[in-house]
Amino acid sequence: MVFFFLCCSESFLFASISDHFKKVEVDFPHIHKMKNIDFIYMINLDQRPEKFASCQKQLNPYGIYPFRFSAVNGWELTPEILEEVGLRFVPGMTPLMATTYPKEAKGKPSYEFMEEYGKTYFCHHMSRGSIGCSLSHFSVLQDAFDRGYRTIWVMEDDIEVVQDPRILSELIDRLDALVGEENWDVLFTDQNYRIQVGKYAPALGVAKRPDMDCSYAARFCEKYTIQQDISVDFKRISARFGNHSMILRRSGIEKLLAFAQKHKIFLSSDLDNYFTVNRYGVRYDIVSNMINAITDNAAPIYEQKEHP
Amino acid sequence: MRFEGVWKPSLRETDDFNPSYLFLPYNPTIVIAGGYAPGKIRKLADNYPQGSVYVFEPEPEKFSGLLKEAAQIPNVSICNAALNTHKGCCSLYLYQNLRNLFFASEESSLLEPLDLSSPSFRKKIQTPCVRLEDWILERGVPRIDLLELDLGGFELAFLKNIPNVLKGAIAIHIKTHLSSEKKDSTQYAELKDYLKGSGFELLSHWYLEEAQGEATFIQRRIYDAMFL
Repeated sequence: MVFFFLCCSESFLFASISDHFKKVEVDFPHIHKMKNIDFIYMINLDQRPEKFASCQKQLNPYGIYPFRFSAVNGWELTPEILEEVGLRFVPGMTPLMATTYPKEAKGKPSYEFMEEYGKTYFCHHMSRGSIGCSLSHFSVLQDAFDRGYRTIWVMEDDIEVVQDPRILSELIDRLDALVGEENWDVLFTDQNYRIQVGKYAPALGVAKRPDMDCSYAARFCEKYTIQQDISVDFKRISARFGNHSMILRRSGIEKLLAFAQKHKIFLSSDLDNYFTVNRYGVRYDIVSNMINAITDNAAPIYEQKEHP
Repeated sequence: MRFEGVWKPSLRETDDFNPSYLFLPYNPTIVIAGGYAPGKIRKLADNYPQGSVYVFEPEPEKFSGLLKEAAQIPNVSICNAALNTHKGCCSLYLYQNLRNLFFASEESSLLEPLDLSSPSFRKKIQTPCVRLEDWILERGVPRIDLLELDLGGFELAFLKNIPNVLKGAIAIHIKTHLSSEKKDSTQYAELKDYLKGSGFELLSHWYLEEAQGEATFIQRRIYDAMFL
C-alpha cells in the first residue's frame, strides 16, 4: 500500500529538475576566487567565446579571473527535457496564459491558456534560451552547494565593470556587520538593470505564478515591493530585473535550489528568485549589465554568426 | 492616429503584425476575410507551418491575385466567396477609400452605400457567399483560433451569426468604423459592446477619429490572466 502511494506521487513518477543540471569540471579552483568570495562563476554559451573574452578583458586587470561555466544551451534542449524542467499544471493552480513546447511543434513555442492537467507549462513567451539560462544558474548553484562554498559570485557574460570590483570584498564585510552574516542571501552588484546609462528598468511586485498566490494583494505586498536604503552602500530590495551579477551566500544557494526542486521553472530566473531570498543591492553600480548587449535568450542569434 | 487599449504595438508594426499573434498556439487555425494582403498570408503560412490559413476573398481580381501568390502553399486555402449570414449569392459593393492614407485604398462590403452617387462608391458585383459556421462544419475544421476581419462595416452582423465560432476563438483582429457611408454599417461602440458581451476584451485599438481603425480583442480569461 505504501509502495503504491509512493509510485503515485509526482516526485517518484517524474524526473527531478536537478537531473538536468550541467556538471562543472574545475581544474584550478584557486584562481577563481577573491577575498570573501570562495568562487567566481561566469555563465557563457560555447557559441559566444567573444562575450567571455570581453568580460575577461574587463575583470582580469583587477586580478579577477571568473570560471567559465559552459552554459546550458536552451536552444538544444529536447522536448523531453523541457517537459521535465517546467511546471506541471495540477488541480489547485491558477491557470494563466503560458508557453508549451509540444513534441509535434518541433521546437516552436505554443502559446496556450493553461487547461490540461499534467501538462508542462512555462510563462507566456518563455523562450528556450531563457529556460537554458535558468538551468545554467541552477547548475552553478548546485555546484557551489556540492563544493561547500559559503559565498559565490555568479555573473552572466554581458557584464560591464563600472568601477573597481575589488571593493566587493570590503562590501561583503560591511553587509555582514550591518545585517548579520546569516541574514542576507543575495547581494546584487549594481543598483538595478540598466536600460541606459543612469536609467534603470523599474520593477515592483512579483509576476504571477500558477502555483503561488496570484492575487494583487499577495504579489504587491511589502515583501515584494520593499526598496529601502539601509546605509550609504546598501539597500534592501525585493523586485528587480537582471541576474547578470549577484553574490550569493550559502543560505541563498540552498533556498534557490529548494525552490527550483519544488516549483521547477516557470518564470525566467531573475523573476523566479524573488520568492524566497533576502535580497540586497548596492546603491551605486560596481558591476552591472552591458547596455544593449547581444543576447541569445530570445533567439539563437549565434547561428547568424555561423551561417551569415 | 489615436490609441486605446492595454497593449500598444507601434504603428510601424501594424502593417503585418497584429498583437493577437502573441497568443496563438503553434498550429493555429486562422480565418482571414477582406483586407487583401498576400504578403501577410505567406508570412502566416511560413510562421505556422502546422497551422491552417483560410482566406475568403469575394472580389474576382483580388481572388486571382491571391491564387497566384498562395495557391501552392499547402496550409493555405483560398475561397472566392464573401462571408455572410447565409449561403448562396449576394451583392458586393466596391469602394474607394478617399479619406485617409493609413488604411487600404480600396475595400468591399456587403453593405450598400447610403448615397449611390458618392465618389467613394465604385460599383456593385455579384459574388458567392457562405455562412462560416456551416462552411467549417462541412470541411471538418475543428475550431478557429483567430479571425482577421475587414468586412467593410458588415462585421457585427457577421459576428452575431457565428456564436459557436466565437466561443472557441482566442482572438479577433478587426477593422473598426467610427463613421459610415454605408447602410447599417457596424459602428465601433456597438461592436465593442457585443464582443464584451461575448467574452472578449479589447487588447489594442489604433484608429483615426471619425474614420476607421484596427482593433484586437482577446478572450476575457486571457486578458484577466495577463492584466488583472
